[in-house]
Amino acid sequence: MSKTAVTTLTLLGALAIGAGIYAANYQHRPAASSKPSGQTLTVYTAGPKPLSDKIVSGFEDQTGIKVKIFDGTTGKILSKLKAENQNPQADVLVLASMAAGVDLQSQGKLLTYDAKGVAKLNPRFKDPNHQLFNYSASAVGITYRKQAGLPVPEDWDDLNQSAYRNAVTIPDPKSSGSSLDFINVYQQKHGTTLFKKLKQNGADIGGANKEVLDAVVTGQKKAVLGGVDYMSISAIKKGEKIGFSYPDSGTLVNPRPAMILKSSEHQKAAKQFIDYLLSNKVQAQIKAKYLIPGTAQKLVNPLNNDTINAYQVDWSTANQTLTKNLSRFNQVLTHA
Amino acid sequence: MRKRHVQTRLAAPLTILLAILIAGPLVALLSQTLFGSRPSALWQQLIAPATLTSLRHSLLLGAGTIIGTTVIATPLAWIMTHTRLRAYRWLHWLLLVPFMTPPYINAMGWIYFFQPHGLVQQLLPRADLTFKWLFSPFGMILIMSLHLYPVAYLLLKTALTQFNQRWLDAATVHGVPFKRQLSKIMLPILLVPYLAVWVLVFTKTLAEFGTPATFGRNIHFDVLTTTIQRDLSQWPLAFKNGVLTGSVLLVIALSAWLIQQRFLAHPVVQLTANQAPILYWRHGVTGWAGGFTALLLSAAVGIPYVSIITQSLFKQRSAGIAAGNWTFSHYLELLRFDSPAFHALITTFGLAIAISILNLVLAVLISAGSLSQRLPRWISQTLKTLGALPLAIPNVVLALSLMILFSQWLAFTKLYGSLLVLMIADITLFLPTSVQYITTALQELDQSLVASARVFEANPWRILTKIILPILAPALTNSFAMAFIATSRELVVALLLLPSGMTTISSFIFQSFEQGDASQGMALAVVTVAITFVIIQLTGQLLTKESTPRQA
Amino acid sequence: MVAIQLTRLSKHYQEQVVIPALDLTIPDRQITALIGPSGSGKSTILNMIAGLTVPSSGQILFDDHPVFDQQRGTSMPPAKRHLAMVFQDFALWPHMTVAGNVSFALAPKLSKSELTHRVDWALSQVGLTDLRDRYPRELSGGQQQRVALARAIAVKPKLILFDEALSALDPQLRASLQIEISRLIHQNQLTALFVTHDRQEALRIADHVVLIRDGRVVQAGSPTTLYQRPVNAFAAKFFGPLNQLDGHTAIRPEHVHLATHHPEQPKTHGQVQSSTFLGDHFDNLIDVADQQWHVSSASALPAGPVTLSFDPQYLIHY
Repeated sequence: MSKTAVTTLTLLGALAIGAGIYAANYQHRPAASSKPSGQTLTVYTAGPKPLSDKIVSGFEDQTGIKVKIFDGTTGKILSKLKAENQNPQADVLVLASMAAGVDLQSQGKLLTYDAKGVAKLNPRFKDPNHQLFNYSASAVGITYRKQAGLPVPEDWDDLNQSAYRNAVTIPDPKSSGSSLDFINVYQQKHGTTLFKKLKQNGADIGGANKEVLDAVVTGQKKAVLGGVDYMSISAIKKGEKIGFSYPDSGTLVNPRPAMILKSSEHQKAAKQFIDYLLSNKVQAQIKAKYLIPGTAQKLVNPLNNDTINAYQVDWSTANQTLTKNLSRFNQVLTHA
Repeated sequence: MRKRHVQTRLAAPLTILLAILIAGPLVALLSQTLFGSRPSALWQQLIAPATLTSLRHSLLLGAGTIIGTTVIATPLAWIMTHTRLRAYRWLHWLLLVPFMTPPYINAMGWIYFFQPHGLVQQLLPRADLTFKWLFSPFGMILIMSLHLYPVAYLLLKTALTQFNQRWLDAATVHGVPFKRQLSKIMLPILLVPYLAVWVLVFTKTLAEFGTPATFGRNIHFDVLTTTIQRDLSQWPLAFKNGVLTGSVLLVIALSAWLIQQRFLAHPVVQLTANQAPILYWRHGVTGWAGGFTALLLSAAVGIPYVSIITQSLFKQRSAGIAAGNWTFSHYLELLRFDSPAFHALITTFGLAIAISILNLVLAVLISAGSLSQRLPRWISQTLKTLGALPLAIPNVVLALSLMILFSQWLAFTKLYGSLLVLMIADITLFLPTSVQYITTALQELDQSLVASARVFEANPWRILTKIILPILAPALTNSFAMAFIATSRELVVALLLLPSGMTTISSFIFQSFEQGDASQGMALAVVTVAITFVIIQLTGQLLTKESTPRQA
Repeated sequence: MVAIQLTRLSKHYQEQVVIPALDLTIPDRQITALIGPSGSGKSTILNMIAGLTVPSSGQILFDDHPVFDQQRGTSMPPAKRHLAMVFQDFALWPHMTVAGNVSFALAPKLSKSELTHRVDWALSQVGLTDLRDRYPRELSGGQQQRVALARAIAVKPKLILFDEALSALDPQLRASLQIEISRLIHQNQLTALFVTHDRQEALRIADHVVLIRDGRVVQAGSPTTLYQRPVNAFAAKFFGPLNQLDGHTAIRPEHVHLATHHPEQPKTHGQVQSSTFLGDHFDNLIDVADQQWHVSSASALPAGPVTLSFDPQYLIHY
């Protein structure tokens, strides 16, 4: 190859990449240009990414408002919020932890909005202050490996059997908002006995929800205690050899709150976004991803339509016990 | 005379701006630590068990990795200088692959290979092998050593090539026994390069985030870097603790760097190549060397790559290795133009190109400024320091410092949360490598070559484009390629500073383990490494093309 | 056809004065050698004439045209001074072929056919036509220096500057290139300025020699003048070994013989200390009064007393 050829190829390559960037940034949103508004809404979301992508592109098509999203765990979103304290960037937050939402609410950071769609919500998901919009929810339960000789766990205590020795993992409450809420609410109701027994049976704290699910999928662990339902169920629907059960004695159904920050400079668009979240279209999309729609009047297991035995939770009390229960949990699980 | 004033007037503001951007964040971090809370509270935090544990772990990991890389790189450097294997250029490149592999991918590969129901157990189901011993601090040191040995290997290889065989010949002639030659001649002379290697490996291990964040999390082995990242991004937040830990890490890394600078400044023995090292031709030696190298490569390259590639090809990851469980769909998914992974790919390469170009421009200015005799001494000295300093700053600390600087001190600029902060971080991080390349090239650029051009050619533009740029081209291409590769895989800075709505390759892969589709993350990892390899090969070819003459 | 005139030319770096205030005229169509010990400032003078170093004060005239004048603020860039230069380390551009190096400066000025013609001419002058497509690193040192020479004459300069141009070559090659350069300069009626620290080279190649020390001219004149009529002890010793008669009188070793050969000349007595075989002659170390003399002879001299004679017309007085 001559020098000219190499130069030409390099230039062509650079051009192709440049064109790709252009295309990637502008081409996939042609519909937005039909209703130009010049507004950009910034949304921080802890939702499952494919769902939030779908919701956002639907919203953009419908309203012509451009949306910038930041995907992260609840922890990452709150951290980003704190770092941006002096120069707030986000307009709307969608979190996976109700406790975190209540925490922000108690700090007075949220905007009150009388959304029309709220009327349709399941009563247990309604916020009397009209600040937290629980457009969807997820339950936690037990994910287990389907393999010969392994009993199917139906309640939390089943994971204390010797078949599950050294093979149970719990999502790290520091990475998973739903896990945090679960260990808090569970201890409120039943104390630490379960966790002590689990520790004796060799259970340990894993990573985020996806990571612990992965540990079971690849066989590193045999069960996850307190993992979110929709992730496991979609893996099951994809054909992975795992199972998921909602414990008979009851479990936490954790609302996933959306909220508008008071500091938002795009409140009108933000309100439109909340309305969109509560719309029938989005509620159907939520159901298709095996999450519990906020408008669902009965909470059922997507695998067999059995009713889920859900805890009744007072979230403001839960917010107060959070730190104490978290450190108790860490103490039980990390120290022998 | 007037010309000189103009130069100074241009250089001084640039130097000050660079100082603010490179040293400013560190000042912000340290003062935030010192003045952010009362001294007694600071001390309490410092001796808190969690801080001390991660500090202990970091130091243990650093010390262990020093031993590990030394044990691996010493025979390897000897093999690649003294045996027949040294003739194979491709082997040299292959040996560098572990360092080019992003560490978090490397570590994931190891986990998938040895975990219960991992690749080994699937391939040998009856062997009843458990690898508990591997999932321990020892395993972590092993993985880190297998990732970092190329750094040690490169330095030791140079040292061995430059080791004058005559020094040993003289000893042999004068009847000094081999043992004494080893202890009294070889070791004292090679101590300097070894110390340099150890400091470098220690600093790199201390700053490493990817391996502790994946493998370390698996075995609950917190180090300073992961503690900082967790304190800053997991709820409930421990911002103050993260800042303190960041300062601790910075102080250790800076001390190690200062020690290294001392070594570089005063070489006890000048090593110069005046003779090719003697070659051991015997078949036994070659066989032994080949065996060692093959074993090393299969551990350092084979294990992670086999495991990542198989993971990226599984239909059902719970089914494992089974007929009909293979698919290319994760790769095809990447080719869809609207897939998030493809977006991440485009974003990353776009960013990497922009950052590498800016990095190159700054590196040229810094190198030229630090070498210039015409600028005031304080400017050239400052530039020299600024060009080398980022080597001592662990990525996570730089990201944290920039966070503090831009979210608190410079909050009025409203720049926090924008791409600019991320770009500043990446440019700063990879500056030292480019500055090193370009400074060396500028030093080697014979002044008489430029002088002769000025005598024969009046047009400065033509001198620049036809003489200076072509001669500097290899160094420029090299530093561009290195910055490009480093930027495109940088993880922790992206995790902490990436603005909303953007994903890079590394953050995509990392998040795919946390929240997304792990198979797709693996597929993207394979594609990224392949692209990296192609870029290196292309650069290499471009360079050899330029330096080998065309025969008429 | 360029005579160079330096008037009150000075150069200092910060506090350090390299050239105090130099007045010097370099004649045209001749080879002038600028010679001096290392650090004497000869290369600085050459670089100032080339325009590579900007003088601190003074004036440089090429044929009465100022190329540099500190008071008037004139300073022509090197390439506008119509000169060429040959460097010690050749300074061939490593990424260009031989032809590329020779044609680089001309390419924007000449048409393609003129260029080919000119490059061919220049290369034929140094006998390198066959190597036109080679790269510098494929050539020997001597070949590289010939390319540098071709590059210099190709631009058809009036003045060529040589900066220690032959120092990197071995003695035999150096001698043959000295002859070649001398022929090229005179044949093309060029002016050449040759900086060197090698006195043999200066004497052999130059029509005019300027001896420099500490940035000042010690003596200027023809090679024979400098060799035979040095103005002071420094100049006398610089150009070759001396046999001292007293503090101000000396004679070169080649004019001293054994008294038996030249009975008519003045005589002196000495003690032979040693006799060293040097191939074509023996070099004898002889104590004469309180001085040590070198005397050559066809055969080895036995240690002991000896009588020497010398030609008085070659006595050097300073």
